[in-house]
Amino acid sequence: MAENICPICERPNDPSAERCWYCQAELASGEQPTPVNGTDWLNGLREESEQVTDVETPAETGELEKPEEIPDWLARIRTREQLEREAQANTESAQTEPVVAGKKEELPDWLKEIKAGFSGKKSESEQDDSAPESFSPLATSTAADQKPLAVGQDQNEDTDEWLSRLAAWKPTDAESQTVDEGQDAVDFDTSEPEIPLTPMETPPKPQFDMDSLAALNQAEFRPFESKRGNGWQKLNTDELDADQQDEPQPEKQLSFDDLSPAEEELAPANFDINALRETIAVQHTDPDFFAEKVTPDASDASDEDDLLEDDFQDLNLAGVENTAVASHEESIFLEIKSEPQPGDLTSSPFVPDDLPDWLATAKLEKHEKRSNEPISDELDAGKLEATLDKGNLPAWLQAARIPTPDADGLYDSRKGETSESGLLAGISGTLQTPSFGMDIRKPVGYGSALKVSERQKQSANLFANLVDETFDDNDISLPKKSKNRRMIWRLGLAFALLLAVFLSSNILAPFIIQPALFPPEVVSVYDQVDALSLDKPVLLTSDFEAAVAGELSWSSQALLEHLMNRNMNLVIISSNPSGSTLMTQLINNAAKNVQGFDVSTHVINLGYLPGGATGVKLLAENPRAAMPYTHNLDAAWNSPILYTVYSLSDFGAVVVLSDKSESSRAWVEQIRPALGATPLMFVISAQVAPLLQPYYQSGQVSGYVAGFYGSLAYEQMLQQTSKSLSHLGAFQSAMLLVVVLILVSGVVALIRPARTERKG
Amino acid sequence: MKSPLSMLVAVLSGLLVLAGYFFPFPALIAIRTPMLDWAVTLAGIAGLVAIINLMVGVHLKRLREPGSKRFFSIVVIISFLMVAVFGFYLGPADQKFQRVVTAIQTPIETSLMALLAITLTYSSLKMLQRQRNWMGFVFFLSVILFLVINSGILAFSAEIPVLQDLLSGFHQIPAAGARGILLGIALGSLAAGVRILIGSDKPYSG
Repeated sequence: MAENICPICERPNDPSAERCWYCQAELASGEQPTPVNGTDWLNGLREESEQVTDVETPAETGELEKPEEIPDWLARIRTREQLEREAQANTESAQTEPVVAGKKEELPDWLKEIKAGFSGKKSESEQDDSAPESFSPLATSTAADQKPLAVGQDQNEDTDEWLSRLAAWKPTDAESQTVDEGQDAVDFDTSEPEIPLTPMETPPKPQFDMDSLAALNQAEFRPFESKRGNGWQKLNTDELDADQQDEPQPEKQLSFDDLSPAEEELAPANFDINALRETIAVQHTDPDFFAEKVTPDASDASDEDDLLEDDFQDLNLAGVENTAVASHEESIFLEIKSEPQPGDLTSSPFVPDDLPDWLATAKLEKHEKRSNEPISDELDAGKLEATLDKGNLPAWLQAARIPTPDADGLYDSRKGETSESGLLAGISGTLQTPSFGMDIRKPVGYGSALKVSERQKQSANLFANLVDETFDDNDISLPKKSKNRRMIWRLGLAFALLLAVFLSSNILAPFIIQPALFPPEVVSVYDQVDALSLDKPVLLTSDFEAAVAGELSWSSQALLEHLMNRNMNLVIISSNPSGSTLMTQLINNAAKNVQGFDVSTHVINLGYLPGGATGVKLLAENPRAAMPYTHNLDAAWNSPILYTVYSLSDFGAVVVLSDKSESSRAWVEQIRPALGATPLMFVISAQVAPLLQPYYQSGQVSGYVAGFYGSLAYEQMLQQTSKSLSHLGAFQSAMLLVVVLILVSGVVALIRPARTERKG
Repeated sequence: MKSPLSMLVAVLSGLLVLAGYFFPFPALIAIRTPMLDWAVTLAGIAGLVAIINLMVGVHLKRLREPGSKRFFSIVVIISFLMVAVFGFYLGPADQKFQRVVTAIQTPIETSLMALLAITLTYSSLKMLQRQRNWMGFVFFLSVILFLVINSGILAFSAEIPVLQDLLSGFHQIPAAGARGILLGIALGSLAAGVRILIGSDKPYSG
């Protein structure tokens, strides 16, 4: 072959050239060129997987031996055995290294070994030396490659077979191109390993089969770790191109900031064989880096050992202890520590390999931020307490928290409390677990006829427990001081109201303000009663309790007297059990003020109408069926008052006395359709008036007399003085007193801070 | 469908009463009136059962249990027996009997109402202490305003047209709220009735 093949980049050069035109590497003149791909031991790995053909020239293939069909496991065993032997031989011949001529003499011995091992070519003096120079497997492999040329067959037969297999391998065009680029990049003069490297944007797809991958996995190639261990950075294609253009780059101090991104961007799973090749190439072809980074006079032997160990670490071959990594990394750290830079992790006690990704990337930024924050040397308790929000705990949390010892002595009282059940049973000071929904009652038998589901049972038990708790005497225990204060306040309030009521009839009488206007609903009632026909009875229905009998007696008194003055026949019905009796009393009291009105002849009491709204509906449908008998159990409809009445519309008017809005509504709803033109009027408590107002406005109710002022207005329309006017002073004075008290207390409550704010 | 017969009876009864309301035919009325009569009679019987349960199931049961509540149960039972005996003997229309009953019942219930008035007044004094928010403040102003209006001291407003109109407007506010309540009640009652008529709700099934 006329061309001179570069031992570094393995590209053909002019035979007369002393240096490679591509990589400027020194060319060996007249030397038999190394077969293409023969020096790259990685190519052997590819050969097994790809089985590429037709790439190499027939001349080259003719020079190589046919590889034997050796299984992979046997090849690996032989490789390991060869490594061990050469390592042993290397240690024996460490003191008898040959002197390297030319430029290589200036290089350290260990670098010469690396260089020779990578190139797969030894100098003549080295070739004469039968002992292997390097302990590195790379050197071993390259030495093995050269054995058919220089060493001969006396070294190891197995190695020859392995080399034969490696030589038989030929990569594809793409791979060979990539290999060439990587090798072109590793130039002694132009390589810049200090530049932080970024992974390739489009990493080449690994093209090796599973067997090769298994072999690689066994070795666990870790290109970035290897670079970390040697203080190298990965070279990407752009930078490698820059290397080819001989552009000197300023040397940059290696830091872990530069390492971490590369570690992130290329995950271990994305194994890149090209990156590995570049790493190894750079590692073995840049002596300047080592000359600058490592102090040559420190201890060459130790550094050499470190590098050798790193080589093993890079390949992670079996049989090489990992403890060597730590020692080497320590040396790297020592180098970095010599030139500390801000932002570096030189002070970190962690080995970079042990750092997780997130810590390697995020720690520095956070550290810088924290360093900018002012740090108080001492914590001022007073300031800290002032910054805390006092007493603004939510109610549930305030109730649940354990009180402080100085909180009204409650802490001592709670000390003895122990939880009697649950997980915290027997532990003092714990909160009692509420027992909501627990069935604490005796089991209740529902019988066989009643089908009760479990859910219904639980609901019934829960409701029964709630009712039982309502009737229990477990009142909230209040402090005695608070109880006394409440009692005093209530007594004072009652005394003030009573005083206002008693004084109103004498002292406050001149200040009574009588109503100037008559409510329209009262006027309507008056008009309706005044227009009633005498031949039709008036139905008076009682639907109130004895509690409001006092109010309704005042309210209804004027109306009843008006009816009696007109000598109307009255029919009494009650929709509650005590109503008929109360109504009878009201009529009797009113009849005392009306002369000539005989209750026994003008009033008939039909008694109690049960059923609520249903009874009212029945009364509206058929009064004779609803109330067949009188209060004395006589036949009601045979009396002269009722014998002409067959329906409610036959009454002259229906007047309902009620104290409840619900019953008033029921009366309106049920009997209004059956009344026809018969007026429906109400005498109600003041609390019912708002609900009855819409019915009056809609015309369903003819009118109503509500409360004290309704009765007073009706009395004024009747032009008679009654007890209502005499009680007006007491009513107004008590009302105004209540208004003043509520107003004052409200203003005080608004001005005074809240209880929680007062307690702090 | 666990009880189709009861549901059928309930639905048919409801439909008959409803049809009789809209179509007052004699035939429908003849059916509807006895049904309402039965309902009223059952309601009266239910009241009687409630009284018996109160005496026997509650107070007589408490007599067998130790405690201070036994005394009050004894008082209740004795009072009940006296009223029942005298009521059956004298009749409910007897004036003396009515006077005795009302002389006891009316003062007691009226006193409870008076205590309720005191309690509500006292609670009103502490209203803003517990409800220090805008709703509490609105309620506070409403109480003050309507107490003043209902006390009658603004009777002179009849001579001031603007104030009279203002007070008339304030009087309409409770009516407006009551109208809304009534509408809600009506809609709820309608929905409940429809649910019963279609058998979706069975309050009679226990």
